Order: sequence, then structure tokens, then C-alpha cells
Amino acid sequence: MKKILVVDDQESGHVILRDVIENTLGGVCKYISCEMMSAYSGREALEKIESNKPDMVMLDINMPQMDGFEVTRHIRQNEDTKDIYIVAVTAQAMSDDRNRCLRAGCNEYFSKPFDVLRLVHFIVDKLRG
Amino acid sequence: MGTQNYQLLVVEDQKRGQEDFKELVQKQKLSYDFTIAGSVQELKSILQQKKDFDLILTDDQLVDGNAYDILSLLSDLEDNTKIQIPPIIVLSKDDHDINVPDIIKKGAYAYFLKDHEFLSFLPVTIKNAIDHFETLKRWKKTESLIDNLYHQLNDYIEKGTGEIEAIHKNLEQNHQKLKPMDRLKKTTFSKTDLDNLSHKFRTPLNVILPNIQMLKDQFFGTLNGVQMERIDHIFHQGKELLSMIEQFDCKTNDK
Repeated sequence: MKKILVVDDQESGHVILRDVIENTLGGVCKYISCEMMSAYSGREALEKIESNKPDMVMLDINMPQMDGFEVTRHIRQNEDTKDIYIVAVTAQAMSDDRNRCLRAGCNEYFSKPFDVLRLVHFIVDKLRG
Repeated sequence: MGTQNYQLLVVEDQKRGQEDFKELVQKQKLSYDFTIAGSVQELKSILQQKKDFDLILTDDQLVDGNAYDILSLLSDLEDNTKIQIPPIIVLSKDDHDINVPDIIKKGAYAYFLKDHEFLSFLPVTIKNAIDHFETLKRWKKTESLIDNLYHQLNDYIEKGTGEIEAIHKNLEQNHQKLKPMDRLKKTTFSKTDLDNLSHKFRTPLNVILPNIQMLKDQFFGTLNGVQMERIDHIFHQGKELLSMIEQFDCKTNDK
């Protein structure tokens, strides 16, 4: 079973991604077996990554205290976690934001509001691969 | 005066003098309508009934008074009745008993010594006197008009000043009301302000659009035809709004 960690300080982010991932009628779980974990801060995310080794991290960039860029740097600096696939999911939508996320070490970037089906198929493809 | 005859009042107590005048008018075919008064009293009586004479021609010595009495009488009449007294020409047999500058000062228009040729100058002098009187009347009328206009203008200015003050006060009040808007106009939005604005518009769409899309793609069960139609409509309108925000972002980035 694949594990996806959703990191967002807002509950609404978790609610939508839970449907995107766990919904069996159209979400990722319709195609592959997976489970979703939640973290509400950068610090909690690093702890859960350390202990659970998820296959993918869906990471919000705008978070207080430790933002998504810093979380990404920590993940990449840790030998045990440096290969985890990170998808930045952020409300920031400037063209420069995509580059900043990729430069910081993220593998992919989705801006909110994202296209649900495109995200579902993207996740499925990556986790299957 | 136009084509109307001059209206003259002739004050002469001597028959000979009266006849001379009548003869002058007839001979020279002068356009005069004249009334003759034989004394100061008769002059007074005539003036009480008829007031529109163009000129008074008077002898300086009459049975009941002289030229000074007549000038004094006419001056009183003018003061009491506010009638404008016409020009007065004084005629005299000799100038020993009369002070010409004084009599002019007292209101006479002209003085004539009744010599052998005075009648030949008289019509021209009468005409000049009447023209002068008409000019004076027109001037007084104009003066009165100017006076009225001046007062009207003053009234308008006073009224206008009040209105202008009211308008000024009103403008001042409106100016105060508009000041906050003026400040808003002068506000320049930085890129950060515009990015924040875009973010605030996007935030509700971040929840609305994915949820609508999941409903539309039947993540939560099958929709009937009407539900599908409505959801589809909401989804497309939401995408339209998102497209507008993206255009706004592009313009912000261009700036």
C-alpha cells in the first residue's frame, strides 16, 4: 500500500486531498491501493516523514514557522528521505513560484485550485511507476 | 422732437410785443404752437393746467413782476411738483436794470436785448434751447436708468454673493466628502498588494472548484440529469472566474 503525506496548515486542504486520494469512485484509490496521512506544520511533517517514510509528500508551501521550501530542504538533506517524491501544492500561482519550488527541490508543482482528475492521474502514474 | 410743433409759452404784457412774436411765427412759418400769458399770475395759472411746454419766452418787466419773480416762481414749481421746467429765454428792452450773469445763474437759458434784429436770432436760439433741454431730459432719463441699473446690479451682487457663498460652502462640504476617495485615487497598489488581492480571490475558488469537479465526476455518487446540468454550469462559471483572475495575475506580472 502506497503512503501519501498531505502537509497543510489549513484543514480545507486536507479535506479536498482526502477525497482526491481516498475516494474509491474517482480518486487515487479507485486505481491503486493507498492511504493518506496528515501533518499540519512543517515540524510535524518532518517527524511523520522520518517515522513513516511516505512514497509521496503533497506539500503546501505557505505555512507559518517552517514553510514548504524549508521542509523540502530538510527532506533533501536527510539521507533517509532525500528521494521522496515531493509535490508542491500551493495557492501561489505566479510563474516564478513554480521555478522556486523546483529549485528548492520539489519534483512537481500544482497550483490551487488544481484540476482534480489531472492530479489523480498524475499521482497514480507516479506511484505506479 | 420729431415733426411735432414746439409748444411755447410766451409771457409778454405788451400788445406790441405779442404781435411782433405772432408776426415772426407767421412770416418765418415756424412750427410753434404758442400760448400767451400777459402777467406773472396768468403764467402761474396756465402752468397749473398745462405743463408740457418746450420753452418759456418771457419779458423781463411785467405788470405784476419781473424776470427774477418768474424764475423764482418756476424754481419753486419745479421743487414742489417735481416737474422739469423747460428752458427760459428772457427778453429785455434795455439791459440797464438787469444783471445778465445773475439771471443766467438763476436758471435762464438765454438773455436777449430787444434790439432791431433780435427777432432774426430768436428762432435759432429757441431751437438750440429746446434741443439742449431735450438732451438734458434724455440725460436725466439715462441717469435714472443707470441709477436703477446700479441698484439692480447691487442687489444682484448682494444676492449673488450670498449664492456664491452657499455654493462655496456646498463645494467645501463635497470636497471634504470626496477627500477619502481622493486619497484612494492617489493610492498606488504595489505588486504585493495585487498579489494579495489575487490570493484572496483564489482562496474560495480553491475549495469550490475541486469540490464541484468531484461532484461532476461523480466521486460521491451518480448524479441525475438536472443535477449534472447544474453542477456543470457552476463548474464552468467557476473556471471562467479563475480565468479572469489568471489574466489579472498576468497583467500584474507585466507591470
